[in-house]
Amino acid sequence: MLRNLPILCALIACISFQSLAGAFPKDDDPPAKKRADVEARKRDRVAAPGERPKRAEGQNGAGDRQRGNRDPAKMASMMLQKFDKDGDEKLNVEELSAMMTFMQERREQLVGGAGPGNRPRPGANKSSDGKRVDDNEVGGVKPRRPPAE
Amino acid sequence: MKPIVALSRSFLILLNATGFALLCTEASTGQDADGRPAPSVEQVKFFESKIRPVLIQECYGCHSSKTGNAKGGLRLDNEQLMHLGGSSGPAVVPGNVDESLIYNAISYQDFEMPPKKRLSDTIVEDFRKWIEMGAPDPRKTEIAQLRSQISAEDIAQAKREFWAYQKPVMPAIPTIDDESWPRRELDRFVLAGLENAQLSPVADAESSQVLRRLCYDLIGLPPSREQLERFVRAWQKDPDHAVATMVDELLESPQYGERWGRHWLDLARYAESNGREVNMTNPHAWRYRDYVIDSFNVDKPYDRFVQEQIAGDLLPAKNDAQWAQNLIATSFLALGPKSLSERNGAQFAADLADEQLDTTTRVMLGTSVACARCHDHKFEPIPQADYYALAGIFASTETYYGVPASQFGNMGGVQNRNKSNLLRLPIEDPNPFDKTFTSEELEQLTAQMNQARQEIVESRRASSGVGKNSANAKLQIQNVVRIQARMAAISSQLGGVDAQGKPISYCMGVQDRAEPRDARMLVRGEIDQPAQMVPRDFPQVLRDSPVDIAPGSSGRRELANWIASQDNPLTARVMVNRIWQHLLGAGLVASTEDFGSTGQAPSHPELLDYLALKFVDSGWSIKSMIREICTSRTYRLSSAYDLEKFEQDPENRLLWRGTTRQLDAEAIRDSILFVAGRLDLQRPRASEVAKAGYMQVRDGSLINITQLTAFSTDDNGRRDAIREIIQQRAAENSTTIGDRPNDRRRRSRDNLRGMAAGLLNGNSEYTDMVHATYRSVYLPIVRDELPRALDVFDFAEPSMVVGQRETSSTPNQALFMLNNEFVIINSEALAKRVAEATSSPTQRLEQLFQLTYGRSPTTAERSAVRKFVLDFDAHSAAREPPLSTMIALSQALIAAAEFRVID
Repeated sequence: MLRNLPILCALIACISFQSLAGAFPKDDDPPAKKRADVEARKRDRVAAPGERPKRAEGQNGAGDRQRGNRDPAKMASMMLQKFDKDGDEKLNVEELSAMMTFMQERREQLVGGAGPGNRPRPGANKSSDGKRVDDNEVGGVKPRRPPAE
Repeated sequence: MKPIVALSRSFLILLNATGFALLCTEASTGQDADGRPAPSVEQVKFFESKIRPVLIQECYGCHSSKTGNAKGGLRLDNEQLMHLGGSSGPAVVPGNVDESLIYNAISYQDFEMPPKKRLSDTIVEDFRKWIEMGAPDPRKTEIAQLRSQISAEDIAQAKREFWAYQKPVMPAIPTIDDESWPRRELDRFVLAGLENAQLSPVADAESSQVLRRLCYDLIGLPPSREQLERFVRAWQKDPDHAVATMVDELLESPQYGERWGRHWLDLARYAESNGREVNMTNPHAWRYRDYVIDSFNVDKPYDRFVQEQIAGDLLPAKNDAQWAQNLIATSFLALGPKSLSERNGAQFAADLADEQLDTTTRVMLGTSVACARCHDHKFEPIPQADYYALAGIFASTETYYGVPASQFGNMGGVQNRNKSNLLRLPIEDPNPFDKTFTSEELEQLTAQMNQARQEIVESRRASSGVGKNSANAKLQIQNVVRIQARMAAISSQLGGVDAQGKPISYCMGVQDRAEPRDARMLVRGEIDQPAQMVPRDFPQVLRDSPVDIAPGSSGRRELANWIASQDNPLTARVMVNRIWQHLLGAGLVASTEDFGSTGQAPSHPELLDYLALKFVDSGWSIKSMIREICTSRTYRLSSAYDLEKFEQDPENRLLWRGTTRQLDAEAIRDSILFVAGRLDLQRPRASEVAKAGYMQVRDGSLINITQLTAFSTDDNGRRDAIREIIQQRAAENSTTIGDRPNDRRRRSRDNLRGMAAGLLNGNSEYTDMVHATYRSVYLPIVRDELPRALDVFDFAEPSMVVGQRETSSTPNQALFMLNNEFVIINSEALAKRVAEATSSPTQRLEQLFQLTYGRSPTTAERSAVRKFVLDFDAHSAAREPPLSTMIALSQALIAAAEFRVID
């Protein structure tokens, strides 16, 4: 690794320059592409440090995280985005059923129980190595049989 | 500008290609510290351009060391810590999007991060791709490389020079001057020590004193009148034979296992609840208690006893019954107190392994390896690496200590963040108090659960849209908590039965993890400061070569074999020392849990080695060792005081006399029941905690209101059910409320628990168990809520390893003897017993003294009693004192010091 260090330093410098160069619109790109790029960057843009997102009417910080206080229009938009598979900007019967099933499952998980077929909240009952332990094995954990004496 | 930019762009492309090619050469052939392939160039580029900027901007504010924040115990500023995760689990599981909580959070599933603004779909998609490609992350933690100050030479030197790290060697039997004195070879060691110090032993104790000593030491009860008369007669003919015969008789008694099993339960920090801030019951802990008692009664070889408790699940079993006992034995590792409300799962796991390691090494090896968790051991040659080498074995073990899961999941209680299941026994031996449910009852309970879930949804809906600090919101939160507690109780009932409603047999215990792993050292023991990995092994100072652990196993089997090996320098010595301590009052090594350099040196090192080797040669038989000691001359020495000898050896380290000892709590309580004629020697099935079921213990109450009212469908129904329970219990217990403060009557009648507790008229639901007549070893041992009869007389703290209990003499003990309902009830029974046996006041007095002290009253005592009777009741002038005076006299004899002392 050390023998390549000078090249790597140069590379890093180039990448930095390249990023900087890429921030400016390319003059030879067609206008439509420029507009598309700008729109894409707007979509991908995350809040700059220190910048606070605009609060929609009705939002009140921590209360936003409570489901009852969400902007209904936003929620509808999210649901549409998630379940509108055919892209017609409306939910047909199948898509609506999928949405209702999703909401029901989330509700069941939230109340701390898991109905048949539902898995408990991710992260619950995990061992420190990230593997899910068998805490939810109904009827207790069946121990591994040792060798016969 | 344009040509320069164009030129630069082409040049950059060429340079990038070259540089990336070199990077690929380096990166693709390497591996990271955890043995995974190093990320490729493209992967690093993806991370640097798509992932890291987002983490810095959106996450580091709350989850990085730079800002000093680690909300939820989670840090996201390096790869290792992202894999470690926080309180909810790992943030990233490479290759597994479903298990990666960071993806769950940023896609606003069960978590919502960042909380103020959801990330765009493109970013969320980038994270998904990144996780799927293996979550390549060049942000390697600067893994600290901890260096020990303890060198290999230090360890080697300690092994050469320190007595406890060298294997016992059979010493030469010492020559002595007085050959007539010894009865056993161990007596020669004791006498040799005395003669070297120009001391001589005192005379033997009286026969009645020796018998009382034997009975309490071996079975924890006073001798019966019949035993006393028989022993005294035999002693007059041949004291040695009398003692030997009585020892054999007592060792064969089932009460022996109850007595000596209790000594082991002190060490094993046995309890039927978790303790600490979330004191959940362990309704299946009693199985371990019975296992220990039975093991002592059958004189199970100690090496086998040790192996079963460390690795019973891994030992071969000839049938399911033996397999079940082996599983139950591993409850030893599951019984310890735990911080169930700990939010950080990794911290909880580390603490659990630490507790198991500490208990195992101190109980069985008399060594405090856990002192090396945060740094090299300050006093012993045990580097910090050795601690983590051993911790890896316990960290590779899955511990089961909680409540059985139902189809609704594992609900271990509202504050319990570290729930656990139980092991299913391979035999049918259910908790006798577990109910068999009909199919209708199962349906009803399931309906209760569904109804409760709906109630929670409605409560949450009702509490949303209002300020979180409003009265309504707080009420709804309380409501949710109450409902969740009810759901936990119902779920534990459903989990305790199969689909037909039949109770399932469970136990606490351990199993190997599917993927055992070594532990990583932690700087100062801090969970978020990982250092190098350490292969699983035993402390170097105690073993000759690194342990060879079978692939895919935790190392517990190897650990069990190593501890139980006759080549282990400590195991036999530590156990023999404990046996000596229980019989003679103090161990040959006074610090029974510390055989290290800060512990006490043995008073008789050759004797210790002799006994240790004899113990091993006997097949690790505890009864044989007890017999050896109890039939010795040393054991039957009088406790008479001698000024000259005392001045030379005030602590009696040379054993020139016997030691006066105070009875422990169980012996006192059992003796009170014994003399009253009310002691029930039958072992009760299970325990009061098993009867109560899974619940959180508060205020000493074992009434599981939630379980008892599970079939009530609303609050009115639950109140009616509680009223019925109260009336039923009141009818069963007509005595007055015990000495526990009772301000519960002042609670609101809307508080169901307060109403129930406040209107109770008896103590049977309290852990005091005033009316219980079985042996004290079967009383419910609930951490922080011990029965008063045990607590006041220095019972072992059940959250700690206790090799030797403290002995105190406090006003509380005297007040207990004077005022406690248990003492009063049994004093009355003693008085009635004596009154029914004879009508002569003189004979009654004789009987009282024989029953309580095993002797006749002296002349002075007769005078004192006469005066007492006259003073206590004016009617005592009559020929037969009224019963109340007899009761008072009986109580006075029980309360006196002689009743509680072994001379």
